[in-house]
Amino acid sequence: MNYIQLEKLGEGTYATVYKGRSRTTNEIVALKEIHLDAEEGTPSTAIREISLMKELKHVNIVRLHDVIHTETKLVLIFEYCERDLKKYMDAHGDRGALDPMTVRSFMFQLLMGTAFCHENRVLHRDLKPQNLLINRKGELKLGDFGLARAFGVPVNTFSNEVVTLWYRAPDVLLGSRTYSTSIDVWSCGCIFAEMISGVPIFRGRDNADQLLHIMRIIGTPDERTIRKMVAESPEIQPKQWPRYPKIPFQQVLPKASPQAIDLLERLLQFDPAKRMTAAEALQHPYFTSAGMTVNSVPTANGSYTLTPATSMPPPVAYTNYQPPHSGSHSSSHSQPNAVYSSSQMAHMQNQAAQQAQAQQAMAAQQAPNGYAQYPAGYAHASR
Amino acid sequence: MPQSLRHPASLLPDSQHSRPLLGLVHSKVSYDMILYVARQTMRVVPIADDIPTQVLGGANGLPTPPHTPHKVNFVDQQPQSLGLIPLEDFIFHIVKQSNVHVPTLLTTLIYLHRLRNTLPKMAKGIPCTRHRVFLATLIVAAKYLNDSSPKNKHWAAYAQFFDIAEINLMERQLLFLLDYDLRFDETEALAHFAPFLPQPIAQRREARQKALSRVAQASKARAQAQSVPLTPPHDDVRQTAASPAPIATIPPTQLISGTVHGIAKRLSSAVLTNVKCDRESPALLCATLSAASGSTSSSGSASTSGTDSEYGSSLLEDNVSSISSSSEDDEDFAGEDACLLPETKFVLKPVPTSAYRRRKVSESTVTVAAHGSTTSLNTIGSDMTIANVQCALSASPAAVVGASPARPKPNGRRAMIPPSKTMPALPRGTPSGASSFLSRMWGAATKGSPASASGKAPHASPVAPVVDLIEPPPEALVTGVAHATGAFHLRRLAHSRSAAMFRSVAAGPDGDA
Repeated sequence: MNYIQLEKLGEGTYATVYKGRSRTTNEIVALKEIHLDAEEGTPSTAIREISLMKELKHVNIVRLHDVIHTETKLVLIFEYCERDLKKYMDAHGDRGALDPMTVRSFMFQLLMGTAFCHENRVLHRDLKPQNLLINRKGELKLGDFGLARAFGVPVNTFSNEVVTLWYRAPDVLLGSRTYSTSIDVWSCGCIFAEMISGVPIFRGRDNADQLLHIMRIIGTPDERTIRKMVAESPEIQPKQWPRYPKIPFQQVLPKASPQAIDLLERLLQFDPAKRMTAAEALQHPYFTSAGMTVNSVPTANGSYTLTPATSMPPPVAYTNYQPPHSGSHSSSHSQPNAVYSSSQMAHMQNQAAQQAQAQQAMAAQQAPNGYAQYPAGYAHASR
Repeated sequence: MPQSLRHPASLLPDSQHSRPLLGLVHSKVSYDMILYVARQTMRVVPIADDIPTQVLGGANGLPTPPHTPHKVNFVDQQPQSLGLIPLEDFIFHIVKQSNVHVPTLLTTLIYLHRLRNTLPKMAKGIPCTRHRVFLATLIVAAKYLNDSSPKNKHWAAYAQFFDIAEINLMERQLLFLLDYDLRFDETEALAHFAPFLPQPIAQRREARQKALSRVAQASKARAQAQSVPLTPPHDDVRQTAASPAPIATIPPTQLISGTVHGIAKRLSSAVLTNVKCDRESPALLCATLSAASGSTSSSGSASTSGTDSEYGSSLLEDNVSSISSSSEDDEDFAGEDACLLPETKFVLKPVPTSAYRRRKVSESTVTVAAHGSTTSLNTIGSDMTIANVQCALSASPAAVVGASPARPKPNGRRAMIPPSKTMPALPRGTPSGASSFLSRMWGAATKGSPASASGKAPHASPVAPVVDLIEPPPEALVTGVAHATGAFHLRRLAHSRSAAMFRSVAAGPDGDA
C-alpha cells in the first residue's frame, strides 16, 4: 500500500479510521477502512460515498484522494483533519459552547459546504457535529457521505430513515420521502444551536419523541401548516399533538446575538418549504454585518483568523438581504460588497448570492408564496 | 400552493422532468427491455468466438505459426459443457427473481455504455463474460439508485450461475472500470432510455416512413446481393420490438416463425432441440429469441457504431437498418464493431458438440493468427509465467497508461457537476490496468498478461495492445488449461481462474502494507 498506517482515529459501525502517511509525498492522510462483508459485497454506502465525493471538490468538503479496493477491505484515503466538531467543542468550548466568532466562522463554512452539495444536487442526509471535521487551520469540512445521495433524475428510491435522530427534520420525522435539500438545512440549524449552547438542541429518544422535543421549542405547527405539508408530501401521516406554544429562541439560547437568533429562526422552520436554503443563509446579516468578521480564507501563514472588525468601515444597511420572493431582488446582488476587509470573502458571498438567486428562481417555480409568511421581525428585539 | 409535487424518485418537482420519462419509470419491465439490455450487453464485449477470421487477418495480415490445436479446442469447448443459458434468459431470470424495477434495469444501459467506452476496442471475453458484465452493472445500479437494495448473497441466489465470491469480484471490477463514476443526469437517461420512451406522434410517423423506405431499399439490396435471406415476418418482429409506446411482448409464434425463417440456414435443427427445457419460456423460444436478437444486435451495433450517443434519433431506423444489414452498413461494420458478426452469434447457446467442432475449424485459425501477431509485434516474454505476469501487472502503473484509453464522455452529461475529466482520476490503490481487471472480469486468466506487456511496451504500434488482448501467450494458455482440467463446469473454471486473480490482487496492496 502506498500509505503507512498510523494510529487509529476512530471506529464506526462499518469503518475504522486511521491516521496515515503517504509513502510518496509524506502527506498525512486519513484512511477510512471499510471491512467488506462477503455476503453484502461492496456496501452501497461506500459506493455512493466514493462516487459522490470524488466529484465534490470544495474547501469545505473533505477531499477524497484515493481508493484502494481489495478482496477483504475497501480503504478510502481522505485529506486529514485533526478532529471533528464534536471533539472540537468538547476541547475548546466552554462546556461545549463555542465563542461567537468561532460559531460564526464554522457556521459560514458549514453553509458553504452544504450549499455546494445542494448546488450539485447532492443531499448529505447526515449532517451532525461528528461528521464535520475541523483541521488545524480552523477549516470546517463536511465528511462522511455514506448516507449522501445524488438527486434530480427520477430513477431513485429514497428511504425515510435518514439523518441521525437529533438532527432529523420534522418532515422526515413525519414520514416524508419527498424531502429535499431543506433536511440538510434543518441539520445545519441544529448544529448552529449546538455550537452556541454546547448541547444538542433537540434530544429525542425516538421519532415521535423527537418531534415532541422540536414542538416544545418551536411550537406545535398549526393545522394549515400540517395540511400544506401533507399536500406536498402525501406520504406524511399527521397525528394529534399537544399544542405547545413557541418558545423564543432567545430564551433557549440566551447567549446568542439577535442576528444569530434570526438566522436560526429561518433555518429551524417546521415547514420545509419555509426553511431558508443554505445559499440564502450565507447572505444573512449574521454573516455580513459588522461587529466582527470572519476571514474564511486562510491568511498567508495558512491559518484562519477570527478578528473583531473594529477598524472596519460602518456596515451598509442590509439592502442585500430580503426575504426571498418578496419581489425585486434580482438586481440587488450586483452591488459590490465594499464593506468586507477580505476581498475573497466578498467574492464567496457574491457566489453564494448567485446560487441563492438561482435557487430562488427554482423555488419560485414550485412555491411562489413559499417564504411570504416569514417569521421575521420579532427576533430583532434586543435583549 | 406548489405547481407540482416533488417526484419521489428525483426529489424535484414533476414539472422539471420529461413527461415520457416519468411514465417510463413507473412502467413495468417488458421483455423488449430485456432483449434490448441483452443486446447492449453483447455490444460491450465480444466474446472469444465472435472474432471473425477475416478481421484478424485484416488487422495484422501476418502469417502465423499454428497453435496447438488441442489446447485451443479444450479451452474453447468449455462453454458448451456447462449449460450457460443465453444472456436474454439470464437477464429475464434475474429480473424476475429480483423484481428489479425499470429505472434500475435501464440504468444498466448507461453503465454498459460507459463500460464499452472504457474497454479497449478489441477486448474480448469468454462466453460467461457478458453474463458477468450484466450482473455486475445491475448490482451496482441497484446499490447506487436505491436506499435499500439486495445484498450480493441475494444476487448470487437470483443469478444461480455465479457464487458469491465471483459476484463480489465482478462488482469490484466493474466499479474499478467505471472509476466509480455512476452519476448521470436526465439528458443522459433520456438518451439511453429513448427506445422505450414514446415519441411525439409526428416524429414517430416520420420515423416509420423512413423505416419503411429503408426496409424497401434494404430488401431490394438483399434481393440483388443474394445475401442471407431475412424474411418479412422477421422484419415484423423487429418493428414490434421497436414500436415505442406500449411495449408489447413479441408474439411467440410470430417470433419463432420469423427467426426460423431467418436463421434456418445457420441453425441446425440439433441446436433447436438440444436446448435445456427447464426455463419458463419454451426452450425453442429461448433459442430462437436469442438467435434473433443476437443477429440483430450485431448488425444494429454496426449501424450505430459511429454515432453511439444518438440512440435517441430513431429506434425504428436503428432497428430497420439492423434488419437490413445491407451494403450501406458494411463499411462501418468492418471498421468498428467488426467482432460482432451475425454468423458467430450462436456461441452463447448450448450447441451440440458436433456442430461446434465444425465451426471450430475456422476459429482455431483465427486464434493462431492472433497469437502469431502477438509474438511478432510485441515480443511478449514467453519466458514469463502467468504468475510473473500478474505480479508485474499489479505492480506496474504503466499498464494503466498502456491499456486504458481515455473515455470519451457523452455530451450533456452531468451538467451540474464539472465533468470528471477535469478532475484527476482517482489514482488506483491497486495499480493494475483496466485490462487486467478486464481479463479477470472476463474470467479469462490468460488475457491479462499480454495486456501488461502492452503496458510495458508503450512504443509498440497502436494496434499492438489491441492484438495483445486477443490472444494469450502460450504459458498463460497452459495455465488456463491446467486450471480447467477436471473442471468441466464453466462455473468452476471461471471461479478457479478468478481465484487465482484474487490472490494476485490481494497480494499486491496487502503485501505491501
